[in-house]
Amino acid sequence: MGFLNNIKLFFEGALDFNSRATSKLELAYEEEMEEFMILAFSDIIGIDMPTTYYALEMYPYLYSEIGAWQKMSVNRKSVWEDKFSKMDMDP
Amino acid sequence: MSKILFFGGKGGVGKTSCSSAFAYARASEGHKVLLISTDPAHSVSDLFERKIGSDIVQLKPNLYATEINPEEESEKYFSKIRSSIRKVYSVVIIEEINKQLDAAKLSPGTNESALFDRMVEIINETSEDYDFIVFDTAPTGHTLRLLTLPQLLSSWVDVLLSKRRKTMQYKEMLTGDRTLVKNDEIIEILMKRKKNLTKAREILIDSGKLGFVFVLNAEKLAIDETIKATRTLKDNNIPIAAYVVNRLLPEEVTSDFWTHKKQDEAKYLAFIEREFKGTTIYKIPLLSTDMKEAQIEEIARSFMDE
Repeated sequence: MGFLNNIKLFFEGALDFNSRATSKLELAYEEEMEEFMILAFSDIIGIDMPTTYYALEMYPYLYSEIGAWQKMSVNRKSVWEDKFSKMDMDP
Repeated sequence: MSKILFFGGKGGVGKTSCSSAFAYARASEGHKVLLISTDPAHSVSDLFERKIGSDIVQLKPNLYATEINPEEESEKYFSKIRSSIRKVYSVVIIEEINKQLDAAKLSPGTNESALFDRMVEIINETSEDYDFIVFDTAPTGHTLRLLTLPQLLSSWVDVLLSKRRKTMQYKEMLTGDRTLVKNDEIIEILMKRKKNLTKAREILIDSGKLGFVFVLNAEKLAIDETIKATRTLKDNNIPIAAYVVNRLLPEEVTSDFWTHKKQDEAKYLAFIEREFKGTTIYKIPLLSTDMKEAQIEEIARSFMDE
């Protein structure tokens, strides 16, 4: 069974024309990144935490990523819309 | 008795006098003692009538002291961050980041965080070198926060580390670059912080070296606050090493006013002895003169006969 399953997975990956695997990875990457940002730099979006000071030393290294995250948070019209649009609704 | 002691209590009860005298007493017994003032008013300098500052200086044989200046510490931290920016970015971006840092500098938590960072640093670097480390701290609530911060910060760092690792792993898969996790500066920064916090926690909490000393006066408000704070410390598993009842009136009082005062005091003192039974209680007399170095010596005697 394991062997058959591997073959199935191989073809699924090889024939992945919509590059669903990559977009799933991208989605996972974005989500982890966003959670990291919220935990580390929530003061930027107005939530003050006792950890704010300690996150500052990471700031220079994450400057561009923080900028992108901030823009994303501001432009987002609705959290639900954002989440649903990222989901793969194809069967 | 524990090795790292925090002196705390309501404002104005005589924390600095008592912690200095305690440090003085241990030093004259032959222990090597480091006295650290975290009080923004820096009364230790005033007490010993000499400038102490942020480096460790020797006051007496076996007695060393330092004062933590939160503003100086946060300035050090910010300039370290600024120098790491210069390695990474262009001038325009540096300007932008500096703006962000300046805003952060004014945030209310900054000084406290800087103070805490320096305390952790001192504990990690010097705990091997001294027999006693005595912290003369600001009022109780503040100290409690400082002592519970390692717990909070370690779990924060842990979560950030796992999130960052995952993020970089996904990025490795997306880009095919297999060195991202290994060379990530963020992971490095977080690991360093985690290491410091773990070490401080080991020294402070796991080794049982930490103890809290309450300074209070024999009067209602100070007692009430001490009872409340004792409960909070017990909830946080911070052991209480001793209570110091400061400014006790002399035995022989003449006028009606002072006799009455003395009666009240005896009542409160009995209450204190009942309430805090089982823990060492030091009793310190009220002096007729201002606290100076000679008086510290006098008070230190009360800390010696245990």
